[in-house]
Amino acid sequence: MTVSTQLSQGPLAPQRGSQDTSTGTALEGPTSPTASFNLIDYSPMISIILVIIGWRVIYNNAKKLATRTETKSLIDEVIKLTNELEGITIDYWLSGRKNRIESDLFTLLTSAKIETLTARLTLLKRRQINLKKKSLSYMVTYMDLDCEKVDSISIDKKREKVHLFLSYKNELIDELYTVYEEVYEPSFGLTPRLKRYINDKPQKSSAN
Amino acid sequence: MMTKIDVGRAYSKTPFGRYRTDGDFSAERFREEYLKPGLEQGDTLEIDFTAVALGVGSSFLEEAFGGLVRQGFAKNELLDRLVIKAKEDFYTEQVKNFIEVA
Repeated sequence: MTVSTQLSQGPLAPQRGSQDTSTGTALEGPTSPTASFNLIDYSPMISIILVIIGWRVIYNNAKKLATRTETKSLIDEVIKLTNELEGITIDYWLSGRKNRIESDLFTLLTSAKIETLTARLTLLKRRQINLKKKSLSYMVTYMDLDCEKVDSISIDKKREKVHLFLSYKNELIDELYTVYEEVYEPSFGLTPRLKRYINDKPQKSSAN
Repeated sequence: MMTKIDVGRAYSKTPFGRYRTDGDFSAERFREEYLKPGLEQGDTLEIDFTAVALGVGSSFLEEAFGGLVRQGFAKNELLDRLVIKAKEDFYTEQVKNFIEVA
């Protein structure tokens, strides 16, 4: 394949079909000097560039998928820890005196799990999964506040505490998933996106 | 002037309980022997929990800081003057809540 490029296209360049005033003969065009290059000569370099671009795309995609999977496994670990805390908390507040562990042991157990939980949350923070402190703070408060007084607290109050603990625990998990989906947007293929676009379009046009 | 209290080194690595009856390293004792004198000494009081092993229970924090409000310290003054340092970020939030609802 040969590609020709007309280099001289300025005002001094002889025009196609113009006449030589000195001889009176018509000039045959194109008479300007041309430079040509053969694409086949560059094909090895073009191939290498295309391979590098392709490799880069695949590498970026694989890196993105690996990061997403690693982050998800950290989230799963956080969820597992909160589930363990849920079990210990429910057992402590709602089981009878016979089956209940001592309050200092309960504090020790929950504190150890909370320490691991916050360590995992710190790792997630480095991966842009940044949570507000509110839900964790309330979850911990309802989990172990007044645990020394467990025998003197009414059953209604204990149920309320457990209920609030569970609410904040679920809020924490919900927040985790929400931030995770914001950072690593889930892909649902083209069809739902198209549907969303079609549904949004009349609203936007009516708003204008 | 800032006064600092390193709870893990100066008080106990395992502080626990609300009242003196709950144990040797209770919140009540910590409030009376460390927090109140610390607040009287300087403008800002930094309480460092980083050297505490396995964290502090909510009851301890409530009695230590909420207890200051019940003993007559102004909430706004406490929120301005206290600085909490801990491995777990949520301690600051907890202490703030306990002072506000006390």
